Amino acid sequence: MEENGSSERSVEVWRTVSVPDLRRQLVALLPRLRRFARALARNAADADDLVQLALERALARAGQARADSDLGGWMYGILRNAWIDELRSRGRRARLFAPAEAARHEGDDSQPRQAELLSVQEALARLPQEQRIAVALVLIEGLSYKEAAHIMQVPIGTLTSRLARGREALQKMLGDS
Amino acid sequence: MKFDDETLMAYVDGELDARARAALEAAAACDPALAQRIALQQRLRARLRREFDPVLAEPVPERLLAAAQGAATPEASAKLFELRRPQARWSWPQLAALAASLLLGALLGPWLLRSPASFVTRDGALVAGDTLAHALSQQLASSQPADLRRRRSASASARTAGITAAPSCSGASSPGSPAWSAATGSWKHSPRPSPGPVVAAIAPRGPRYRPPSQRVSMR
Repeated sequence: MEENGSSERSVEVWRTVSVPDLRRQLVALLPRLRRFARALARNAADADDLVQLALERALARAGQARADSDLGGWMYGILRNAWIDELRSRGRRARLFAPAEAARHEGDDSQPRQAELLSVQEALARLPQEQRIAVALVLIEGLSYKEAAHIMQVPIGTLTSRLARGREALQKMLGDS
Repeated sequence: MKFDDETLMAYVDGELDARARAALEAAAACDPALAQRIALQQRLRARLRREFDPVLAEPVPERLLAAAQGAATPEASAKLFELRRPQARWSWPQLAALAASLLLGALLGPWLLRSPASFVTRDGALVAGDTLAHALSQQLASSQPADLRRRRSASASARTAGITAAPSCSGASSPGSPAWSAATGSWKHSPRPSPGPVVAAIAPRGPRYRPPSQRVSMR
């Protein structure tokens, strides 16, 4: 993502944010970062670990934080990348792909019964990763399509189709369609 | 005017421009089905916000505040490492316990095996092993008068002989071992050993030996 950014703005002169400033802004961002991480990782302790990892990475790259850019978007991107790295380093174990399979299976059920309805967190956890991230950024964090697509490094059309599929699956799993 | 789902989603996500928004709202005002489809999208959004917004009000853990301030916390990285590790791994204490028990087994095993067995099988019968036999005949009697010891020793060997003399299975079935009867087409138990095997070895044909009297020409 950083490579993307630098190629777009390589001609600009960067005014990087000072480290004390960055720290202050990071502290202010913490509640939102925690909410985003919670939507990704479900487990609260794992989510906070993820936030912590993102903070450490952000401070290690403090020179890349531009004073006039949206620090929130930058941090969401770092957190999202940390989450993808985390999933990769966990390996291609069943836990990763079973939820996606389950979501597809759930999606095939035309009429889930009341007793089988999932909680919002369970339903979200069953979405394929990219749909979950898209839903978290737009529906929970309230980012614009443009911001979310930039964070996910995809065209807006890809983002909106992920959003549409994620919404549809969630509505079926939550019994609201 | 038709509105597809993506347009409705864009509407609830605040992505429609002013004109498109006004057109959709005007259409929904006189189209209950369209209004319902919009409400469905709004419900999901609201439900997700209700679920996750409380996180904003939670107190931020101290370790995250410290991390945002740039305080290096080595235990944090260790914890993350823990999170990343597959769960089925052995922990160090478990591995140590495993190694210790293996070592104990390797050391104790030969020693345990070297001690003579208490019971041994002799001619299909279970009898006292050397050490136990010695203990039974000598050690218990050692504190007793010599003549008593002799008597007991004698009766002990008598008992041992009795056990050993008990019929064993190995020889019992040999006289009545079954033989194939061509006449009846079944296995028969002959009452006494026949010279069958020897003759069968030189019998000209046929899978089994038949006595000459029963032999018929095989064509």
